[in-house]
Amino acid sequence: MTWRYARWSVEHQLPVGCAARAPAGTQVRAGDVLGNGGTVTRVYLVGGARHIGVSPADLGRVLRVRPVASVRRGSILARTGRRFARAATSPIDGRLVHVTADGDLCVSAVVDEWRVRSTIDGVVERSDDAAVIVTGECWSLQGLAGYGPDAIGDLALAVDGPADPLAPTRIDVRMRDRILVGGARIAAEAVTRAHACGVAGVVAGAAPAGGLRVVYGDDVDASGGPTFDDRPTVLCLIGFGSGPLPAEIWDPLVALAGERASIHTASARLFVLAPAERTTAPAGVPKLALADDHASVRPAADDGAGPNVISLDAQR
Amino acid sequence: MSATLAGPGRPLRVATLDAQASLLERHTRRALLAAGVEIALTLSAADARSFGERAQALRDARPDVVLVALADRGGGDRLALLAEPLRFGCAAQRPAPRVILASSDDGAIARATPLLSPFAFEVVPDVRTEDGRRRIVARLREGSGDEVARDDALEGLARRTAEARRGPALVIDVTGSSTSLVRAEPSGPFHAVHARPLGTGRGADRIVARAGLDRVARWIPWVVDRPTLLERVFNRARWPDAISADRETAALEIALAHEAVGHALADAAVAGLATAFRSARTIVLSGSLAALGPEAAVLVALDALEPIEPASVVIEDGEALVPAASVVPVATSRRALVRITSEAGTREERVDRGAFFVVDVSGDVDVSGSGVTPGRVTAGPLGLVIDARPRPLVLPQRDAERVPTVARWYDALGALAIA
Repeated sequence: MTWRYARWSVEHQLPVGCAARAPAGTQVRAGDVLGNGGTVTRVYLVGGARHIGVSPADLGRVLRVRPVASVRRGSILARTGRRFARAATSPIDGRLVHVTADGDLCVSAVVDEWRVRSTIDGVVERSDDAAVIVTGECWSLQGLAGYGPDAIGDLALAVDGPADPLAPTRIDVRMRDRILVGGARIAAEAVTRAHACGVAGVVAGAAPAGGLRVVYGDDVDASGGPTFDDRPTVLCLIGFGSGPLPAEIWDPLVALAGERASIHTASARLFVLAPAERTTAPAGVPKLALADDHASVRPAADDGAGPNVISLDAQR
Repeated sequence: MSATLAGPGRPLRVATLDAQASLLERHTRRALLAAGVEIALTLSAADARSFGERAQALRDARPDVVLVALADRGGGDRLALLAEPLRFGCAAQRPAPRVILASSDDGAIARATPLLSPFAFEVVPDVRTEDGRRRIVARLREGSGDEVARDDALEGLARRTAEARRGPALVIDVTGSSTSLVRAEPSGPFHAVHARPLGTGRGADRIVARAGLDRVARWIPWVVDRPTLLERVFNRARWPDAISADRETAALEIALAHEAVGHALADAAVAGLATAFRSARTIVLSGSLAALGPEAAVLVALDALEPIEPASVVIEDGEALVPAASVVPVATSRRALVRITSEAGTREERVDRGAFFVVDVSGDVDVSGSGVTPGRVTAGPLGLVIDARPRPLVLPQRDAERVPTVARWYDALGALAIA
């Protein structure tokens, strides 16, 4: 795949314990909060249906609060009776997160808050406890693998050419909240420096796999994947190691610099929230070649052919 | 009950809730490995994670199917510890996971029914029974993608080979994203392990994630730069059908195949099948493993499988099975005498512990001697491989000792001939 202006549906997965989320039909902009909640760890199990003398199926009738709602210590969660009342109360300040099949109530302390933000401008198409899907039109570039949380910021070039590596010395705090475009390679030093300087995310042709392990841990794989914790965001566009960008990818990046953009790590996509007429989609699709030693990827010559040459939109 | 189809090239993702792991884990694992699914998450009642962490793990796993095996009512009671995180984490998942409840105990089923109520679920017989496992495999395969066809073909190949050669046959198949071990007897037990996503292509990074980079690198007969090796693995994982064009990548492919087969065998060990797989009179090598060439393929089979009795090794070449070599494992603490009888006559080889070499013979060969299981094998173009290396095979930690050791094994068979 290459650059395309189209209508996209982007699924924003939510962690467990969502307390509030944007309802379907809501108009959102990239960066708006779609859902928020608290990290759920250990839960306190409060006797529910059996304790207050109703069947689990009838518990919903007598619940005073619904999952997921904040509760204070001593708050009544469910209650029956009038003169001889029976009630289930919260043992802690926290949130009622879940009602079990047996009608017991799970209350969790709030140890950490999370927020999931939209990565495109559009309309909420579906919203439930698992995911919020936003549909909207924008430019998009399919990458190979994304790592870290989603990132939103202005697109900024941080290299002079598509074959240049992103040097850590070119990153400073003035680039805060931007999505930096590196060239052929972003080393772990550049990634961590960018994160320390408040850079929203980094996009480049490739990142060294060993560097990704340093940043994201030993269980990182070539498929990438989203996280919700405070880590750098990296989008590898064509490979690992080193990957000079073909003109079909690089030229629109230059043309779209300065526009609002986002990295959606689950789908490994770069979205640029610019109007369709801001640039033109490349006429051709780039051909890429895997180096003989498999340690890097490079653009192939136009007439390039061979066992390890592929055309991006044909097979990916 | 509607089937959940995995996408093309994507195996069915299955999470297991092991409320009675000590009783049932071996049987559950046997069914899952036979079905060729990806085991996305295994949660047991003894899991140290909190309720929220369990629920998040299940949500992250996005299982297509959840397998719940219960032996009795006690298991049903313990299931609450696992089913509630499932309800909390996956009730909103679209499409929702299907649940297969494997139990023949009415009390367990009655207890599990409300716990699993938000999900469509089907009850099959106890996983400890042949019928239960067969039903689970059938249900899981219905929901799997087109990879099932390859699994069926491999199982058919193992059965046909066992019947044709009138002895136990083992098929070892490695592809880009799967590794299979299938053992069949002419008229007897049949065992299959289809480990996904373990392979030398798309599954290469998963091998490294599971085994560790050092365990992959140890099979390469020279000192290798670890970060560069990881680069190669990652690029290989994301490059469809990458072809090894030089010595470095060929060695990487051989190393990945070693670990793929080794880990498939480790999975089989959890299911209680490892010993059976090590014992077969005919070993068929297919897929990417066969494409490595007979020398490298035989080396991988010997190193990773560590067979315990003499076997004929054949390579699948289209519809034909081409003889490659025969292997004779020798168990000795110091020195053994191996008697080899072929059409050319009888010869005796003195074999020291740790020896690994090829005897140039062809055709049908009878082998016997101290530390050798007597038997008849068919030697191919590679001849008869005598393997007296200590079991389990332990590679030296230091490169200065490891490299010459591994290089000697490669040289003995002529593997990595492009070097």
